Amino acid sequence: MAYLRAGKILRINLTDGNIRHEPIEPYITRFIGGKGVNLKLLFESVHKETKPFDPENLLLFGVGPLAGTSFPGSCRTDVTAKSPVTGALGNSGMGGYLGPELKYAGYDHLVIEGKAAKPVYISIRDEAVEIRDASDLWGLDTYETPFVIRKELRDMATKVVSIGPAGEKLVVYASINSGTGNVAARTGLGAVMGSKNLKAVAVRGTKGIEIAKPKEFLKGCGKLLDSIRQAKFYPDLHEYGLTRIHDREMRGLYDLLGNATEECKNICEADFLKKYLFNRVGCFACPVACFDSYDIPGAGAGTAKCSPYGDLSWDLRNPDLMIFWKSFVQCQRYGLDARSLSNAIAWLMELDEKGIITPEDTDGLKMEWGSPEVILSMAKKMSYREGIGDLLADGLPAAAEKIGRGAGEYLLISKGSPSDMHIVPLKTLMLGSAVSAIGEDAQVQPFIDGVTSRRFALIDDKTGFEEAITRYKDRAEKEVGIREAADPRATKGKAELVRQDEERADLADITGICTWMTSFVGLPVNADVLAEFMTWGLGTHVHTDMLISAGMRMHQLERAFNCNCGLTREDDRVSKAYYGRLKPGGQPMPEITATEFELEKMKDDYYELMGWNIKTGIPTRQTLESIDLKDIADKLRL
Amino acid sequence: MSRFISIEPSVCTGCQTCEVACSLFHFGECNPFRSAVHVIRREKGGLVTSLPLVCQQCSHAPCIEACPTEALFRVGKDSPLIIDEANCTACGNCVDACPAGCITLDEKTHIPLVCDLCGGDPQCVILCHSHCLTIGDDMGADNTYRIERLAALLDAEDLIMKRAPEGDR
Repeated sequence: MAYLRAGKILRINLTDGNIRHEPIEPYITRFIGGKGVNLKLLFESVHKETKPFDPENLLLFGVGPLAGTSFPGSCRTDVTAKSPVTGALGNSGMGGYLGPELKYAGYDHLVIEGKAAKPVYISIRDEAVEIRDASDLWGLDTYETPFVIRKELRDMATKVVSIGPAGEKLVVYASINSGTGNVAARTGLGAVMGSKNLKAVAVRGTKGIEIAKPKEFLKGCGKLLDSIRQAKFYPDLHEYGLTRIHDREMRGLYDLLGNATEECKNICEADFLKKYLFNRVGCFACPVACFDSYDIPGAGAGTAKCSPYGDLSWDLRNPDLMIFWKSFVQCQRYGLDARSLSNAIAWLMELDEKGIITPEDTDGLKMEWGSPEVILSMAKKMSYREGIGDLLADGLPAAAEKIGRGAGEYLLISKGSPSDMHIVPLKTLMLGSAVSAIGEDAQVQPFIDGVTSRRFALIDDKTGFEEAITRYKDRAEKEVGIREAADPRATKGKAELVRQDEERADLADITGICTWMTSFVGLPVNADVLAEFMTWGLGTHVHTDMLISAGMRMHQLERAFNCNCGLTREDDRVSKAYYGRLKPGGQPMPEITATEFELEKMKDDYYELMGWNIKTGIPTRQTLESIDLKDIADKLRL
Repeated sequence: MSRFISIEPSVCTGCQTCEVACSLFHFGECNPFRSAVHVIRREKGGLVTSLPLVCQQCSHAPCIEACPTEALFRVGKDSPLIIDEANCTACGNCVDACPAGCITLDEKTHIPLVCDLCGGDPQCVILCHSHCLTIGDDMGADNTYRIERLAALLDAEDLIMKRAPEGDR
């Protein structure tokens, strides 16, 4: 057995029931693991002609080399497929316990091919891999399904992920859920799973992951935990999950958007937590444990963190967190992405406000901002394709086309994927969303631009502003080599800031750790730390630069996959609604956002940085060959 | 016995780091199945309850009493449990004897996995982020209540044993 890895890729063909495995070894030097290897496997067999719901589409679960070890936050599973939301790459990472368990069962990757003739679920117990009948499970929600499967397999510790009614009904915003808060929510992977008639994956493993230098590795984990504990935000994170930080974040974001209602300004997630918390839970090996769980009579039970609190309150002008909670529990049970739901509802509310739709278009429901009736009914309508929900279930761009009357102008999307309604169109966030392979990706939020933009919006005296951002300019110079990058008014250096943040996320995704262990929330895991632990784990020296190159390789491969699906520079856009959205105090502030022209300029910089053709946005042969991707260049016929 | 690993059940987040640390220290691999501490986890209706189980170093240890070959013993009043692998017949009596089910057999060697406090510096305690596991010291007082308390907790929370009995899968 190879160190740090289970060693095998498990392939299950649901059409003919064929189960086979192959060594992961040929993939690891270039792609390390997790999302990196997933992308290579996807690129090899899914092409432009493959439609997301075709049996030929693959559904991949990939687990990186550090996952399943004692490394903090080593819990991630990347789920990848061609997406019904973007029509190109689909990828969503989930935490929890599935990934480590898959490795303990002996597999780093699970590749699901084909389509079952009737509903099935997959049971993996070490070498015993079965495709089992799921006729009785079809229609159950993602809380019930794991429970029934565990009873059937007579093992309460089996790790299960499943789809709910939304995935079964091919709702493009369907998610894959653990039933306890861990969700591969974005880009419609639950619908891909549903299209394969696959209800659930149940995994149990009893094998170990070998570590070359166990003593060093353990000692390193102890030291790392100490430094995590000393991080500024850690006490807040550990005690309040994300609630206190997210409270502040939402207030800060809405200061910039300038359209929060007075009632919403009184929302306090931390109060909600204090009042109703059932317990704090976390993912495998995680020292943060960011999940808050609640069991509220009459409102439902479940486990939540971060974004959904804001998605279903502030973003819909709903000041009542109990309404958020009820709606969120529905999303969890039905297996629906809460963020996409929030975006869809907000869109309908805006259309209603503008007089583009009337209650006649929406099953008699008045799509009024903040309406509890609307918020509480839409998750079910969408998941079960009832009435207006059916219209939304094939994706918002398709719905906009059917509604007509200019409804599409109000969509807040990129690459077809619904954005956070509270995304602030700062320069880096617009560029990041535009060039992301999956549409807006909340993992990429360059810190320096965020903080200096806020300063700019808040400081009236602009000479004071120059002084206030000096230290960020110093930092930008040190980190990306461009002082001006820290000036939120300049387009210069924004590509570098975006790439810096992408690199951070790439490294987490190929190694199998949670990005929250990184500077994302002020924690200390970075490329050097990862390389050090990879070295102890493998027993051979892993250089930081080697890891960084592998992250870049993964990023180029994402791009190559999308190019192979026909995407070009034209597709690196944000929707019209992004522009002019930034209005601190109700007044536009063009200095810190971007015009279409400025976005194009930043794209030029970004393409140059990435070695992509400026006109087409396609990686050049030279770029691909320089990072050992000649085979990909050949496949793209460059 | 004076020192033991104390468990505060209300703060366990279920992360299993204790299990991985134990197996890594003793066997050089990350494997919850080869750990002397194991986290019982139960999920229901969107909620998770978890509780780590580890030897409570009872002063009057039922496991020692149940061992037919005296393979399980202590070298002195303050010593943690020690297993003499050569004398162990893997009969599993100790597993059955523990009121809270803190002992399991290693699937590879069939030798009981018992907590030896890592020779003085328990790794699970070092890596437990939530202070659920800490080092306790009872100064040699009678302590059988500890294991009974754990057993009662398992009962009250309806926590099902992690490992299904052989043949019951």
